[in-house]
Amino acid sequence: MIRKLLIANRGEIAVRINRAAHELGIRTVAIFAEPDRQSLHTRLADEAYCVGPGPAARSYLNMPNIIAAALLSGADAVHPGYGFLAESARFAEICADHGLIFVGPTPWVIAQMGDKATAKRVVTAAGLLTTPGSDILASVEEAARAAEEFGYPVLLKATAGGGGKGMRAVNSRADLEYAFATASAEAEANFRDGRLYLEKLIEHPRHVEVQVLGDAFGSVVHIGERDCSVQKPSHQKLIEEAPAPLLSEKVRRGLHQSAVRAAQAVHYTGAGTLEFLVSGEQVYFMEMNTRIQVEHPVTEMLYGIDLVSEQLRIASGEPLAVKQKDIVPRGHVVECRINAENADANFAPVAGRLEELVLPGGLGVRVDTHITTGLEISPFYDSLIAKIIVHAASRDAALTRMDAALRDTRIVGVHTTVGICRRILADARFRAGGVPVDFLAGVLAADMVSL
Amino acid sequence: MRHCPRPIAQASNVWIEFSRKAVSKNKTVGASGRRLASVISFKQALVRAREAAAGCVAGNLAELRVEDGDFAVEVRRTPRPLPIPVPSETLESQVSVLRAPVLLRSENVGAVRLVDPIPSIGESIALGRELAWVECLGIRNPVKAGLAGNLIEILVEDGQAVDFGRPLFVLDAVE
Repeated sequence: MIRKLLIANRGEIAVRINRAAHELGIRTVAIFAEPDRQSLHTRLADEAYCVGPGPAARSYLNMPNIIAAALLSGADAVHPGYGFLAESARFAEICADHGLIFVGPTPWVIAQMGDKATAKRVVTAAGLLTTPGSDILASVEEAARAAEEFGYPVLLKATAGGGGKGMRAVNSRADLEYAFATASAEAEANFRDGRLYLEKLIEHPRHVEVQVLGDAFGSVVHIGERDCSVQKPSHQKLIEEAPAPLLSEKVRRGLHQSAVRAAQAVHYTGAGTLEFLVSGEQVYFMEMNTRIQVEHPVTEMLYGIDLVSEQLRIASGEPLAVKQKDIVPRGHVVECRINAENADANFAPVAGRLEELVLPGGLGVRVDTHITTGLEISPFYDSLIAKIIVHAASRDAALTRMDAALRDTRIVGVHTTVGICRRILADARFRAGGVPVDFLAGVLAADMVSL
Repeated sequence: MRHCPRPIAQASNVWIEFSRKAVSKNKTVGASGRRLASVISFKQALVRAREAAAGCVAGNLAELRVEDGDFAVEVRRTPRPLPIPVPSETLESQVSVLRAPVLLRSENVGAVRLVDPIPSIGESIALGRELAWVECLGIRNPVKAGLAGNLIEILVEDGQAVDFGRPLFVLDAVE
C-alpha cells in the first residue's frame, strides 16, 4: 500500500483526497500556491510545500517543483485530482521516471483517451457509436469542408479540452472563423494545446456518463451512470444526479456495457468516466475522462463505494475488491455545484471575502468543500467552492431534500449558484426529469425575454 | 529584520521610522507609517510604506499619502530629487532606495546548497553574485543577489529542503 501521498491539487478535491488517504492510514503532503497558504487543504495535510506564486502555470502546473516536493517529502505516490495535471500523460510519465506512483491510468492510456480524436478511433474499434466527427483540423478551411460534409450545426471542440473550455457550437459558415479562432485561443490558454476537431451537433441530447473502475489484473466494473444534463450555457455541469431519470432499461444497460467494453479495450486502470450523448434511444460516445471527476460523490452516495479510496488501492497494485453483481444502487442522489459566480451575469466568476458561511447537514446530506468563514475567494482558480450532495429513497425525496439543504445554505460575501440551483429544482420540466443539455440555456433565455 | 529601528511612540500615535540613517543623510526617500486606531504590525507598516515610496518615486511625486481603513502612511521625498526609475528597473532597486533589508527567496523547491566558501556575515555582496543554488530534479537553479548590499543573515543551512518563496538570505542594500 502507498505510504505517503502527495496531493497535486487544491480546493475541495485536495481536501477530499486527503480524507480518503488518512482513512487508509496514508500520510499526506499538500502543495500550494502562495495565495493558498492558509487554505484548508494546506492545513489538513501532514506536510505542505509552496510550489509557486498565484498563477496556476507557475504553481499547480509547475512539474519540476511538484516532483521535487514529492521527492523531498519522501512521498511514494502522487494523486493529481481533477484539472491541472490530472490528464497530462507527460506528468504521469515524469512521476514514473522518478519512482513515484501516479494515481491514475498509464501515460499511454491518458494520451490515447486524452486526445479526443484518438479516443473516438479507439472506442469505435471496440464497437461503440460516436458522433460523426473530423480528425484534427489544421485550418479554418479544413473545418469548413468538414462542416459541409456533416451539415450545420456543428460543434468545434478542443482535442485537449474539458469543462466546456475550447468548445463552440457553430450554426453557419459565417460564424465558423470567429468560433475557430476563439476556441483555439481558449484551448491554448487552458491546456497549452490549441488543436481543434469538429463533430456533428446532436440537437437537444442528454449528457449521461458512466463511472468505471479497472485494476491492473484486467478486471473492469462499471458503477452505474450519472445524468449531468443541467449545464451552464458554457457547457459546464451545474446539477448532476443518479440514476439517470426516465432512461429505458435497454439504453441504461447499453451504456453500462459500452463503458466496460471501451475500458477493457484500453486495459484501463483506476477510476475513469465515459461520457455519452443520449438522444432518444441513440447513444453516442463523446469522450473519456481518465481521472476522478468533480461529480464522483453522486456515484459514491448511490452505491456506498469510496471512489478515491478505490483509486488509491488500485494504484497500490491491489485487485478490485468489488464484483459487478455486488454493485447495486440504492435510492437517488442529486448534486448541486456551488460556484462563486454571478448567475445573472452569464456565470461570471466573482472574487471576494466570505463574510458568513453556513453549510447544510442532516441525514443524507453531504458537503464537499474547502471554504471557511473569512476565506478570500481568489480570482486565480476554478470558481467551484462547494458541492452539496443529497441521498434519499426516491428522486422526489432527493429533490425535496436538496431544496431544503440549499435553503439552509448561507454564503455571504460573494455571489453563488445557490439561487439558480433552487430555481432549477422548482422548474416543472426538471422535476419531470430527463431534460436536455440546453435546458438551462433555455430557462435563462426565457428570463431575458420576460425582462 | 533586526536592523530596522523599533517603532517610536509619539503621544497617542505611533510613528514608524525605518530609514532614519538615510533620512539624516538627506539623500533619499524617507517614509513613515502612522498608526491611527487599530494595531498594525511593524512588518505590515513596512510593506505599506515601501509600496507608497515606490509609488512616489514612480510617479515623480514630492509627497504621497495612502490611506487604507484606519491606517495611513505618508511618504515624503527629501529636497534632492531622485532620478525617475526607468521602466525596466526591478522592485529590488526601488527597495534599495529605502535601504530596508531585503530578503532573497527561493524560486524553486529543492535542496539549497550554499556556495563554497560560504559568504560571511557583514560581507559586501556585489549585484548578481551567486550566493547559493537550489537543486531541483538535478537542475542547479542559482540564487543571485538581486541587488548590491551587505549580507546580514543566512537563514538556511547547506543541504536544507526549501520550497518556493522561502527566505534564504537577508541583505542590507547599499546605494
